[in-house]
Amino acid sequence: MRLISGQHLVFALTICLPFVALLCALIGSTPLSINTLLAGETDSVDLLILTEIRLPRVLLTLIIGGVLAASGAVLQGLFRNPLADPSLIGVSAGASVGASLSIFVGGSTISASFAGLSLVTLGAFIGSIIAVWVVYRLSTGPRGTSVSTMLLVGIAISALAGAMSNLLSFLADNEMLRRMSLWQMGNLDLASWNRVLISAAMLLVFTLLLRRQSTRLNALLLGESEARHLGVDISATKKRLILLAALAVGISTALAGIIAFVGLIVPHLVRQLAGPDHRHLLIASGLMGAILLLLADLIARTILAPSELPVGIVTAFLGVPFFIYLLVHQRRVDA
Amino acid sequence: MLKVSELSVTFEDAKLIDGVDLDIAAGEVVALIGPNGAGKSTLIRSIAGDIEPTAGKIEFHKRPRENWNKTQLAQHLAVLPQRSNLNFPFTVREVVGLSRIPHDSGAKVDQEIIDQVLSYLDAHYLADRLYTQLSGGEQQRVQLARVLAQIWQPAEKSRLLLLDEPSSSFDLTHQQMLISTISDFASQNVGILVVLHDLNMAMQCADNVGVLCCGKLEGFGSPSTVLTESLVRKVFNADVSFYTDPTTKQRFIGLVDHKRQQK
Repeated sequence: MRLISGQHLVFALTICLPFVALLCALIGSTPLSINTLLAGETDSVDLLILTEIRLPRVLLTLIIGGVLAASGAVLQGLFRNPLADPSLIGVSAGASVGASLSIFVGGSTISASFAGLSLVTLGAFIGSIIAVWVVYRLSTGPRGTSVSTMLLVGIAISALAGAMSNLLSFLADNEMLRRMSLWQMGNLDLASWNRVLISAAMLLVFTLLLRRQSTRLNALLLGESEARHLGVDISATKKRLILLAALAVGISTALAGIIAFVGLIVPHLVRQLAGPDHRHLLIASGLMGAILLLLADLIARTILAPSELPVGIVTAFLGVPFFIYLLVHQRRVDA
Repeated sequence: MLKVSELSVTFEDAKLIDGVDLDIAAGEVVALIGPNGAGKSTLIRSIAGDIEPTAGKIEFHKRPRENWNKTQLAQHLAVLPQRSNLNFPFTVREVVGLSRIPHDSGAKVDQEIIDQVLSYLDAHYLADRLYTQLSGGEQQRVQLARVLAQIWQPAEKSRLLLLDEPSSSFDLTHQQMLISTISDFASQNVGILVVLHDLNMAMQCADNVGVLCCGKLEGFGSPSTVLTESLVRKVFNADVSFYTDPTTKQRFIGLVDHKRQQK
């Protein structure tokens, strides 16, 4: 029934990740060879491509893939629903409005930036945080946060944000419209060392704060009352997990646009391979999300080389058929 | 060790619990009976901490329950809810293992306890099956195993077990198993509060019976003094007769169907 134990899966993925990352760093519209790089010519074009283009891109992709997948696992556990997705709490839709608004307002001042980040990135981050905050406030009453209400409010706020994005698209001129829709398809081509540093800092905080939450998430899968009977402080745990997931997905989306399906599919796949225990689910999802997004980005970069496909298109094209296969297959097993 | 005094729970003008007093001593088995909607589950859930009482006090070992450290309380108090919907594919062993979260006993001891509990409840053959693929009765047994594993070993103070309709999907074998489980735990000084619909089972395993009706405790005492024909007729509005087994002297209760008798 279980194909592999949790520990073995984490071990195997840890071995795989560096190889996949190396592969992705070498392959591209300009193929690089290890031999030339090891020859040590410090001023070669190859080395420049590696350090200034490929490495930041590979690292950013890896971190964002990992964070999206692990956040998906956290939210699915919190909502006790294997079909929950980071976009459900309004993060993606909010980020989308923020990005569109920045493109619309800042149209002429495209180059405006703060701390090396474009206006669009900042707008997307602020938009996602506002959306999650509204969703959280509306679903929190005197009896605490109701996750089922949160799911519904998330859908409502996402629909509202979608309408606002559409309105902005309608009012925008052609150039703005193109940039808005490209942003929504997810892009990793803005990768820079600056963005890598920000995302690495986020990954560090995310990992540290999430470390002790796995047994609590396991208890939550039994039900909120059952978790309370096991001594878990429910309201504090929920608050912390929602905040963590929202910030992580908000920052990831701000840096790379909307990358769908990684957060939904990866935890699902890990659960089918090694079971739902969060002590391995979170870390294995992170590793597998990193590997899958690296591969998806590799396809996005190379399939139409020298031009690039937005990575969100690739993840959707690959992810959806695979997800449907998982669902159908699982139904056969259950029957 | 459990002292509930003047407990009231009001929800949107409806008094679900109305001034209930209840004491449970270590090693005592109290069965809660009453018609549907009488407040049995509400009472259990208030004691378990799921529902905030509107008035009254709940004290566990002479300390208000809200003053207890959450982990420490979980080491002493285990709760089996009426229903559980776990729809993630944990194995049975993993489900039972979740009960050890409040303990710091180490993986080895935990695994031993899981094995012991599963064997004790005749569920060891299920250990590696997926919980989601079990039948209703099997799932209920696994949940019971999880709750027992939480208080399997003696704690600092005497333990308390709250069971809300633990045998609703059990066959006869496992109903009998439940009766002996309750008396085993009571003999280890565990206090037990159990909601039962089966009055025969209540008479068999309880030291005291509490009859709850419309949020009020209508009667409390030993099964033979409390469970009388007139009280059962009044509270349940049902036609019943009592019988005594001539050899074991055990009392039984049965429903009477007048229409069928006339045929």
